[in-house]
Amino acid sequence: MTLLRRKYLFYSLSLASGILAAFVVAIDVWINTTAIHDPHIFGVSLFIVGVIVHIILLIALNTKIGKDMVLGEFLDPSFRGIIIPRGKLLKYMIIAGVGNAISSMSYFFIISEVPDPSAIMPFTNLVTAYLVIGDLVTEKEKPSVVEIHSIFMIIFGAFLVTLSKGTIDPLGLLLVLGPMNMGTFIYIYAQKRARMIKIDEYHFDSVNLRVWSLIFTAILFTTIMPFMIPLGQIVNACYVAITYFPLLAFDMIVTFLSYVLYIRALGLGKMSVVNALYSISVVVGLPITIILASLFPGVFLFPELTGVFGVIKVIGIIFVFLGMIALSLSEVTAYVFIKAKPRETQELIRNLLKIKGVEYISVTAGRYDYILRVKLRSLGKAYDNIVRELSRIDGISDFIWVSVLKEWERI
Amino acid sequence: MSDLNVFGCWDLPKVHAYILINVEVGKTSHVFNELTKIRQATHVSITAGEFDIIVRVTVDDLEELFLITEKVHRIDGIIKTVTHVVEKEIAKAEV
Repeated sequence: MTLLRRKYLFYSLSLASGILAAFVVAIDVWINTTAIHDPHIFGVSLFIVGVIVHIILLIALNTKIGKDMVLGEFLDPSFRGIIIPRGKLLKYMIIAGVGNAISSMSYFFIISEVPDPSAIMPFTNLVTAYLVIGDLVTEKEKPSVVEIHSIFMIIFGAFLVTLSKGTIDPLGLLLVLGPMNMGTFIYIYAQKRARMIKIDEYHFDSVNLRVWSLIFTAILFTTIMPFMIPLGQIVNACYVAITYFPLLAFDMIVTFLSYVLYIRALGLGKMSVVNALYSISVVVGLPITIILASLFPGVFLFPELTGVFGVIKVIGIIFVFLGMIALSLSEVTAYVFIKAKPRETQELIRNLLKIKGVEYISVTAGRYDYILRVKLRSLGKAYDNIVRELSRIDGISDFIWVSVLKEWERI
Repeated sequence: MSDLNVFGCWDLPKVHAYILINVEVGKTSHVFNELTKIRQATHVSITAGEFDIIVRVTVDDLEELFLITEKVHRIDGIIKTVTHVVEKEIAKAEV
């Protein structure tokens, strides 16, 4: 493990994951137009190949190279070989599987039952808003107001970029906002929780996490699939999976890489921020489609860039970038060293915890009695939120403020 | 600090400490880079205020902490260090 700037790693992982996802979309379009035309058969066959490819990848990444080193460590430093999930891990993997299955099933239902599915797909971008709420309710580090502003800018930007012609079907919209987005939310949330679990001193690695959550999705999917999709189509999908195995396997390998990076990012930051940065995929998707459309005119369609839709897309891209820049503007971190008057400590700790922006309080033995670590959006807030509050608390005899200028963190 | 891990075993409680460092003018980057090489350092922060660098370390016991402070003292450019051992830690979410 090397010492890295946490923020850089977090941003590169989330953005790289989004960029890979844009390539996955391009590969999907390629397969859909040149090889497998029926979206149901495509989806099911991709799923079958996906499970096989993921299991092969897990076994391949388990290969030992040198002493105490496996191949998978290059993808995720916390990978230490195959782990069979048990206890809490098993619980979260099943929950992730359920979420993913609900979301995939809603997708299949929408593409077969709803007219103009592409017109309602932009609403899947709103899942980031669900994650904001999730972060606010469950996370230790709650998103700050400015973070929420930036995230919503990205959500609306991504929404505008993906907007396309067609009528918005109310039932379809309800399905996207209900089961489909909720499923994705549950999927991401369970993955985040599982990632935070530590085995020995390492976090549960993203390789095992991705493979196991897909296996549980597959188990659920295969039990429900016969009720949703006619048997003939499933048999057909199996046949297609064998015929186009290399193409589908390539698609799934890129998907796998995208997910591994995404899950690693989840371990470092808030779900909503990861997903907002992942939205770079819709922006990157545009130039990729334009390049591919000029290279393979029959396969890829030029995105509509003239007229109203062009203007809307450009506005959307600007929104996404503005949001991302606003997000990346760093917060102010500081340490406050406190000397206390000799009296009841519990009361003082309780008062210190009430202060906004305090991450944690260390009670120490030394020249100072308490060391607070605080995080704020700006130094200007420091006075209002912290200095004034500290001077109000009875029991503090003296404190000093030390601003962090640059920080490295072991991850 | 201790918690049941996934295998149902107790993790041994770790010792956390802050090492507050004052550095000679012009030696900050050198000291910073040397400090990041210490395996037990979890945060290394360059700061403005009474101290120049704050290091947070996580160790198994006080013996290990002693070895680290010794290692820190050997770095060229450090004027003074103060070590604060954490007795108790409260994160905001736990209340």
